[in-house]
Amino acid sequence: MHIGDIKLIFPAIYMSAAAIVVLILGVIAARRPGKGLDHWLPSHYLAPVLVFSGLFFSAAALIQSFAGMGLSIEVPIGSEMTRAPAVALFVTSGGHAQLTVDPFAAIFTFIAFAGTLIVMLISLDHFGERQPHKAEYYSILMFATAAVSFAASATDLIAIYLSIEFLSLTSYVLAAFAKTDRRSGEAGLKYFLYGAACSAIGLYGMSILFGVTGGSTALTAVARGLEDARATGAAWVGVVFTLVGFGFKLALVPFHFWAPDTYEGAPTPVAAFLSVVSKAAGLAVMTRFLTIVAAPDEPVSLSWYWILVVLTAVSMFYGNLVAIPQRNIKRMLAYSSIAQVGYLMIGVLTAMHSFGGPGRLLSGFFGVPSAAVRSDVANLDLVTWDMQGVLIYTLAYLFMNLGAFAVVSVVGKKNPLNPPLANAEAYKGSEIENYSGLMRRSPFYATSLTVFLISLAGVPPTAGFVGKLFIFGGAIRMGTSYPELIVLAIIGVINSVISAYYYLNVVRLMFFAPAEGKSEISASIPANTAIAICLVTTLALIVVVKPVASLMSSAIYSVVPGVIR
Amino acid sequence: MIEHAWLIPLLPVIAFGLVLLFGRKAPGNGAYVAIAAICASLAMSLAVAFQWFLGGASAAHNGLYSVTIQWMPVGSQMIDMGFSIDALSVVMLLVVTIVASLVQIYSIGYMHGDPRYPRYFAYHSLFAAAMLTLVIANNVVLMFMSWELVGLTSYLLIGFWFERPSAMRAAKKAFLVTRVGDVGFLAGIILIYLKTGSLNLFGDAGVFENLTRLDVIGPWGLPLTAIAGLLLFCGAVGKSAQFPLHVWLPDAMEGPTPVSALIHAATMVAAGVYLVARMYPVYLADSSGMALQVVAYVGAFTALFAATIGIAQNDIKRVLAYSTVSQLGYMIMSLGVFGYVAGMFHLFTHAFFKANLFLGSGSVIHGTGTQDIREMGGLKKKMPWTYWTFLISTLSLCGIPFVTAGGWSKEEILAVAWHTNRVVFVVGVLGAFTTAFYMFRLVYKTFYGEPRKHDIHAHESPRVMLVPLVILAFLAIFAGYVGTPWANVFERNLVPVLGHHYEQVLENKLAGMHHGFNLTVFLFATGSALLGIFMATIIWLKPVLRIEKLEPSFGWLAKLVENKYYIDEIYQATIIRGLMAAAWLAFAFDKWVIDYAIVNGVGYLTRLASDLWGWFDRTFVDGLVNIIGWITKTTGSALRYLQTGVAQHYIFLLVSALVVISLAVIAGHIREEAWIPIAGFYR
Repeated sequence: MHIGDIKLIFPAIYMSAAAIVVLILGVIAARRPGKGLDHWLPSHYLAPVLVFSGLFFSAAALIQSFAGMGLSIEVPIGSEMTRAPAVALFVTSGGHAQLTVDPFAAIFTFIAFAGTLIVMLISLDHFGERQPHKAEYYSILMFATAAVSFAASATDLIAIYLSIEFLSLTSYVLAAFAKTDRRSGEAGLKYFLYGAACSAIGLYGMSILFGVTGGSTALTAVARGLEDARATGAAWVGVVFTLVGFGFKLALVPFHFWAPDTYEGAPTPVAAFLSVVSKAAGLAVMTRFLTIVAAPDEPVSLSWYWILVVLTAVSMFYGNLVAIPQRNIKRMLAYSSIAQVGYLMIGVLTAMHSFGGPGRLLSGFFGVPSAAVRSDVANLDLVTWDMQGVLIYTLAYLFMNLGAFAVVSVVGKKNPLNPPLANAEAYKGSEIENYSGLMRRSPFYATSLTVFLISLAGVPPTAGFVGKLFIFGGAIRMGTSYPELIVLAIIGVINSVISAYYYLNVVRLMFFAPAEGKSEISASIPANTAIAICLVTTLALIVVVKPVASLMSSAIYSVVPGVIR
Repeated sequence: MIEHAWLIPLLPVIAFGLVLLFGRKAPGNGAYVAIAAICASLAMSLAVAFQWFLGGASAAHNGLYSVTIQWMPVGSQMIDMGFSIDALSVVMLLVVTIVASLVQIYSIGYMHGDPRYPRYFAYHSLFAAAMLTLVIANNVVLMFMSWELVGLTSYLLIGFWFERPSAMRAAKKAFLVTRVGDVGFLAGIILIYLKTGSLNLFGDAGVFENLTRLDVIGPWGLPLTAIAGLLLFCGAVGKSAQFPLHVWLPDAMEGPTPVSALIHAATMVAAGVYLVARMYPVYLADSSGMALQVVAYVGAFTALFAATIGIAQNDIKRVLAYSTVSQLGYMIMSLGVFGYVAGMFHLFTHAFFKANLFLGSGSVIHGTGTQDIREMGGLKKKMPWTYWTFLISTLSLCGIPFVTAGGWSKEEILAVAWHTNRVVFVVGVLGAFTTAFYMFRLVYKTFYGEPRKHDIHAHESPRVMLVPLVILAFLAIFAGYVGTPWANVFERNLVPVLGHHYEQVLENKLAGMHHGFNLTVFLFATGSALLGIFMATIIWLKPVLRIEKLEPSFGWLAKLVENKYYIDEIYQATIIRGLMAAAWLAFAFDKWVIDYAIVNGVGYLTRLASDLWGWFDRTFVDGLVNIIGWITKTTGSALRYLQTGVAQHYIFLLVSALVVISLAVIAGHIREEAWIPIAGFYR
């Protein structure tokens, strides 16, 4: 590893360092609350500012990774060798990298940073300025973000496990953060117990893979080892067990049981974080793992591939059906996010095929793009409808879901001025009936929530529509060779219709039902800023479809080293 | 600067947003924001113009700078956005930004105290943005969008005082009448797109490079180029108020006077002329020459026809409105007789002096509180600044040679017409005479003589209104010197806009024409104008000729002209009545024949059958639907009981699921042939 390459993982390092700074300064400041250091440099200002500057670092890393900085390697594309940029960090013996910072990882880092910034803005409004232990809260949030960044670039089983576990441990603390609230504690504990079980199963799976594939932990080595080890059923059980660990992060059915209870009990900003930023880590790892490990084979010949197809379909149905009878909006959003994972998984499965496929040759551990991909690579001008759907939808999902949670946080607050730990709100404030007539009480929040909900339902011209367009479009295009993707796309459309029922039910209550209570809802500037950012991006994504789509398309090609652009 | 020309329309858009959002909280109640934006656009336009004409950018970019970005894919087609800078768009940028900025400054005084003051400036900014987009767009879709957007702002501003029913009606009328033309415009765009396969104007794949594909015989034995040209011209007829769609423009005078100056005199109505000029290669490519013939005769007819109506109007703004219609007719006519440069040149000069006349009339209205010239008179002493600037622009409009801008451009039009089409030339000369006649009638009645109504206390307008008048009067004199017959800078720069091929075609059409000063034309033009002024003088200033004496024999003619040839009444009686009658007939047919005889008869029979089916439906089909809904809801409700809230249950479920999945995987793996039916599907 060249020492200069460290700048590519600089965002994650920066975030960890900043978290330590926030922690130390916060502990010093907490000795004299409201005076001295706490007056001049309170953590709730310091942390967002540091994250905001981190956003620029991650943008810089994004640009650098696209510019092909760092190492470049000789890759066979077609019949000739081409130099393709890739950055391998912490290379172990055998030439396998522990971390690989490619555009794919850089984009997830950027998404995580942006998401955390918005979560912090919501937290500022939600907890108020006199929140106890705020330094700890913000610094744990920042550690979790750094973990997401590491997870997105991890290409080694150990690195993956460590970063996911790092993220999980910080998330348990965050979920239980409102410690005077019984529900928050319960949420944290359930999350922890369930997470521990899943993590154990996942680790067991990884150890099986390590054993049967010849003693290497690098994904590329595992992929090559699986080629030889596929005769043993143990290898596939190892893959399935490993997937449980990732499925838990994603809240994919049947590894979702923690989600509704945790979302409901945890403080709303934390629920927002778990539903978007933490999920992005699971998604990144899942995409990387599947595309690389499945690469040597024709995916449809793998039995666990079909399990994933079924779980994707079940996730969508289960999430949407159970969301219908919910009375608490946070619970409803929890189930809705389970269904959203189903849509995202369609994108992941589509991406998985793009690197496999009948025309695939394997040379070393570097993949060669299939014919469809090659033609897209040749015409970079065209918007490809292949695989970038999952990234576009993640971006759309980031803003629309965070926006919805931001409004929920604002509306659900008990007392905007002085809640030491405003968490009893989880019951009264977040009941869906509390949204009756919101339009008359505060039109801004009602309109914003409407936009976010119709975006989640996938109605044009919102970001959710763009994301679904790309996901389903890509699945249908790939589906000419793999009909099950078309079936999944059809199920996705049916589920969009079902989901409209409960999303629009909230809209109906807000606009047409008589108002519950008269008081206007007010929120501080940070929360309004967060909502405004989400609103603008949700509505504006369709305007910049072209550049975003080509950016994401380049990024997803970089997942398997050597198939970059 | 040229690369950043897209900022020119963008600034007013931002101003529009800001003024709309902040309204009275913005500086100067919003006015300063709008004016700052348009002045910045003006500065940028001037920079572009300097760089283009004097800085050698024109030569560097080979006469055309065009940038296109892809916007979004529609099917297999990519819709683009882009702008282009060439001499034509630079001229239009200058006209629009100069007049718009002056009019907005003037509006500070004129609109002072209006209850919707910020909104007025917001609309103005939106208009400027749309108009500036229109003139630099290099893509017909973007052109059409901004074309419709200027129509919208025109509607909003005509109906700005919507409390007045007449303003409301006028706004509606303007919107609907121009829409008639826009249908043609859109059809033209579609035709061009179908044949050339492009929506961009320039470039190798653009419309202008592929016009030969349109050169096939279409319906009525006309080449498709002629049809496309005529369809596009429909848009111009609507927007530039040519006969027979001219009826909306005089009514549009219900809007605030600065709006009339900017939108309904200087810029928006000239957009039709600009459209024909921009699409001129389409007309030149027309081998039958039919399209340009129609353009020429419609323009010529409108020029004379509207001028005669102007004689008999008594509302100061209406006289000017008919004068605008007539002058637009001149420009269109000029384009029709291959006077491409002359038409654009007249657009350029006309924008300044006509805006000045409107702003002057606004000043008069502001000072006297009336619009009726029969109630005015003797304002020369009370409003000297207004009087002098008004007089200068009137002389420019009449085409007084050498000292006014209008003289140069009008003479150039007549010179081209003299060469190519003598009929049009004669109409043009008659129009020039009539123009001078009615304009001096207006000047004499407004500014000379004694005040005819004594409860009017006229006063000069505030300085913020006078400064724009003086600047525009200055331009009304000097703007013409860019296009004198001896050193025609305007022509030298504008003709290359057509592109090499069409430049050649235009030159061939004008072969043998005497370039430079043409004494015959000069005598005709000047003589007709002076005669018009003389006639007006002996009738209204020194009443040697008393029109009262002519009354018995020519009364019918006066009445005819005064009522605008009853065009509105004719439309009312034919088209509108016709439409209403057709609507009523359709309604009656619907009600009696379809509803009673057919529908009810069939309905009665059907009902019997459907009662039977209804029973079936209610019992079985609805039952099925309800069952599906019920299943959906019940499954949801049932599944939620999986979520017991007990962590042990969750982990138990997790492990059970894992066992099931693992068994399935292993089973599938061991009996690999079991997967072959599925996996084999692909091989």
